[in-house]
Amino acid sequence: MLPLVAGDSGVRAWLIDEAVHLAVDPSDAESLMAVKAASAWAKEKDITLKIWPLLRELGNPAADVPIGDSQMERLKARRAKARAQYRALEDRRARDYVGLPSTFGLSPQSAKALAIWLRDTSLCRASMAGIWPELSEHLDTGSESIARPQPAEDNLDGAPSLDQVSEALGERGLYTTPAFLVGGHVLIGIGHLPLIEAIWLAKA
Amino acid sequence: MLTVLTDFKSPYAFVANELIWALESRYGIEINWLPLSLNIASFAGSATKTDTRTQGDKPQTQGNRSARQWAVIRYAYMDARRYAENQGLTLKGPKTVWNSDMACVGLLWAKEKSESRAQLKSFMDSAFQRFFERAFEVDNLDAVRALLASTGITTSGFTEYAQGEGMATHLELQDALLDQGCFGVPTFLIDDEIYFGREHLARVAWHLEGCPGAPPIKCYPWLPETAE
Repeated sequence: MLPLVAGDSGVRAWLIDEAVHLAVDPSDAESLMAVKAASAWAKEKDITLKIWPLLRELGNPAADVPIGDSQMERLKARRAKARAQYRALEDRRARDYVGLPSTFGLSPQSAKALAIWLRDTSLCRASMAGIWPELSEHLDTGSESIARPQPAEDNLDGAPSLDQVSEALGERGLYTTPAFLVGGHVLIGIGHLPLIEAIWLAKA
Repeated sequence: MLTVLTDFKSPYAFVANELIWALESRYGIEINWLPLSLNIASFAGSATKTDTRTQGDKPQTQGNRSARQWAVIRYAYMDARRYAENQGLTLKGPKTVWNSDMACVGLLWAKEKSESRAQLKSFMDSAFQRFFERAFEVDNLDAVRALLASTGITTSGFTEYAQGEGMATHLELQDALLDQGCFGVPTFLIDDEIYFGREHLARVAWHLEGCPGAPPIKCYPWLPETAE
């Protein structure tokens, strides 16, 4: 177990350079896909991996565009519709990869419990490489799709709150999920594993 | 058939360009390139950087971008730049939000008039590289015509095409692509599937190979560093 430092100063101490950090939203299929792929990759490459819950999503920046004329507003609406359709398509692909049914969905309580499980497991273990089979046990892939996280294996009194974890990740430039932090570099999206490996090897 | 949507002002399309062209030789196909002109102001706001350093002031940025829009844009250029450098490409951030409709019409013209795939590729490579060196104005008819000429593509009739049929075709295409669910670049259309982003290149290749086994996961290609 890593040295336990209470509160938000603790999580900053845990964002160490000697690990690849992955920030995820446990209720999002794309994040679960990242956990599955990254944990298998880290195990194969013998890379130290930490997986943290990030519960503050950036939202859609397109919503900040000031209201324009009717032509612009029509364009914005059509683009938003196309983007939403595509996101649904990508969500389906991510579910297929992870093996989740189309009905999968976590209640806010289940998502929070899974976030706590991720936080506690990251704090307790030197690495979460190869964690996916264990984590997937906590996902009921049946029709009800209920997460069943187990209690942390160590006493984590004084662990940072989920808000403190998210705040610390945000301070390091992680503002959306899934995203990686390695050697001070922020990389958004699961597709960066080859570059992350190159960064990791360059550090070694 | 593989159709690829691209836009010369997109940093992500820029760093994908060479990798996508490589599919042609690897699989012996001809990619159907289509222009998708991003209306950046409609989803990321607008901004223009005015360089006043000659008068001793700091550069000024004007526009309506929010903090989170800036966060996304800054990350996008930082991310694209590291992949560009990996390919030996220069990527300078544009100083304003461009309308690339004219350069897109140039692509339609180049597709029709190129005498070889190499000539089409030369035009596209030059358009991307020069734009990201801040040496190509994608909204300027004369600049597009000059670029076509520099790559050996005939420009006879281009001005009339760009101001008439070509622009009309391009704008109709933009409507059709948006209706089809295409909103960004690069986008790949293959086997009735849509893939947005170069992280899907491996999956596109998987389609070209006949979809053997499980589809590959998303992956941004990273070229191994070569020794000096």
